[in-house]
Amino acid sequence: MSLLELHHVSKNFGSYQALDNVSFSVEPGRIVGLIGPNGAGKSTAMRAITGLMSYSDGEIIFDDERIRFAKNKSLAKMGNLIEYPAIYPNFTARDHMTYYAMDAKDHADIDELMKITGIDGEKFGKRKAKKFSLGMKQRLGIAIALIRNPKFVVLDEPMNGLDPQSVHDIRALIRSLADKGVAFLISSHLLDELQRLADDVVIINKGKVLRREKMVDFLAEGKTQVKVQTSDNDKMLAVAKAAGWDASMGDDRVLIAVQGDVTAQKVLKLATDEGLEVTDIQTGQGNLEDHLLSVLSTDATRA
Amino acid sequence: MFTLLKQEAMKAWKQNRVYIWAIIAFVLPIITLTSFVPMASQASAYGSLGGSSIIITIGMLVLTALSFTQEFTFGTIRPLLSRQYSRLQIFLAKIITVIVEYFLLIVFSLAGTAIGRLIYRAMHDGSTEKVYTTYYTSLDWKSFLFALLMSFVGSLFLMAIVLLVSNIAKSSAAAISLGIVMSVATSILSAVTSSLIQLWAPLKWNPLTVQNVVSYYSGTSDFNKSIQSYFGAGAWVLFVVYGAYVLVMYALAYWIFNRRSV
Repeated sequence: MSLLELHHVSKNFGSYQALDNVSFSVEPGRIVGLIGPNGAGKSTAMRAITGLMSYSDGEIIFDDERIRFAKNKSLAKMGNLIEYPAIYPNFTARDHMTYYAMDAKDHADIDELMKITGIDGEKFGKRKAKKFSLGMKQRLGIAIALIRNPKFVVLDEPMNGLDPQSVHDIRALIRSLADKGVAFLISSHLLDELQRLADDVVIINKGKVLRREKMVDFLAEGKTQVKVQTSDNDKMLAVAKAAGWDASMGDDRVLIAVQGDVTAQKVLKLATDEGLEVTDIQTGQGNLEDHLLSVLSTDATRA
Repeated sequence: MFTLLKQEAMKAWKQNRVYIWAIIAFVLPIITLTSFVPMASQASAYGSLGGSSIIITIGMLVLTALSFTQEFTFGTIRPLLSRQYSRLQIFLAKIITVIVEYFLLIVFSLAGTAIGRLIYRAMHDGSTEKVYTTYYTSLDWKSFLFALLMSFVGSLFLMAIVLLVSNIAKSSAAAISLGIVMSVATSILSAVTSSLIQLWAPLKWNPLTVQNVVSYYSGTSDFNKSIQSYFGAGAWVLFVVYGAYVLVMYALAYWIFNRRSV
């Protein structure tokens, strides 16, 4: 059973349609990546879900209650970090935790959460937030989103400004909470990170949901490629295209999609037949970024 | 609602440092009454709480403006509104907190005024001047506290204007500036409104004139007669009109706050 459901949600700003018949759902314990280019409607969708913005048509159901603009008891079970951390400059990290914990009787253990998110200790716990770095503010923002022991958490660019260790720690924290049943809707431009973290993916562009499926299925659908580096990559590209293969030029090698009769052996044979010296050849799975670009490109072509 | 009030109190104390205003409201009358106000002006200086009444008014306007605009500035408006509480509850919690802050400042200022008066009396307790000191530092507590109450009632309108501008412009500077102009430059505003009233008599019911009269209402029969003579209506009508103005302003501010997408 879904924790969050969007049914045909639309939102207009004058003549501009920010959300167009958007439908998707989030199940408990799932981490859903909401991805798309700038202006696709990700933040608008997140703001509608968190009751911060009205929507023109459709309905949003969270925990069996309809989310309405400015009036939602069910939001007690939702945490969010949208666009940038919400911080009072003269509060310390602990002040923030105390302040936001007042909303819930069964809030998370403040000390534990501060420790997990790395905002504890003499250095940070007692320092005013106005002196925090971007990464510190971001970690505090994530801690704030989690303090009320939410069932569902909306995170917009949660890894923004974090160092690699913090990214690792936050990823582990999100995964552990998801394993306990907490659902996440995460938007990020760091697609490599999202690829590692998300169970499901929702691709949105120009206010419309283009795809909604499991991350593994989406990636599997992406093209497996033979990546070949030769003594003359331009010539390799030309002969691959002449053979009718789906080929393109990468940074320092030619990328040939594995489809039909294309195999690494055949690519190698073609190169040697053409007198090209092959210096490297690999077969690789497509990644989220490549496949996202492909999906967006197809969408643009249809439009 | 109690949770919201606790949270607002925490912000008032830790973020907006209301205690600084309280300290000023307490210390200023002690300094002015003991060091700067001559004996003949002592009694009238108590009416202005030793100069801290204007500090209280400005402080209240600043705190009113900040309680809304800083949520937008800090980006805390989103977690503030994305909760189980209705926007009306959040709005009321902020208003109640500002009013409590106002009374807190009044209490500190009253304490400072009382202490300043006592010190002044002790400083001028020589046998020859004691009789003068007693005369000039006498205080009609009933009139004094009534004037404070009317000052508070009059301030509710200024607070509503600041609240309205804060929610429309989301700018502390604009809201505070307007509030201060309206509280300090009353003589200029009175001159302007008087000129307009001469052009068209019903304009005497304009909110600025009504607020000004209410602020200085003393409850004496002479004052009531003056109201009857000027407005052609009793004092209670004036208070009803004033109440209506204040309610409309607060309702408008809430309407804007409630409709705002963030």
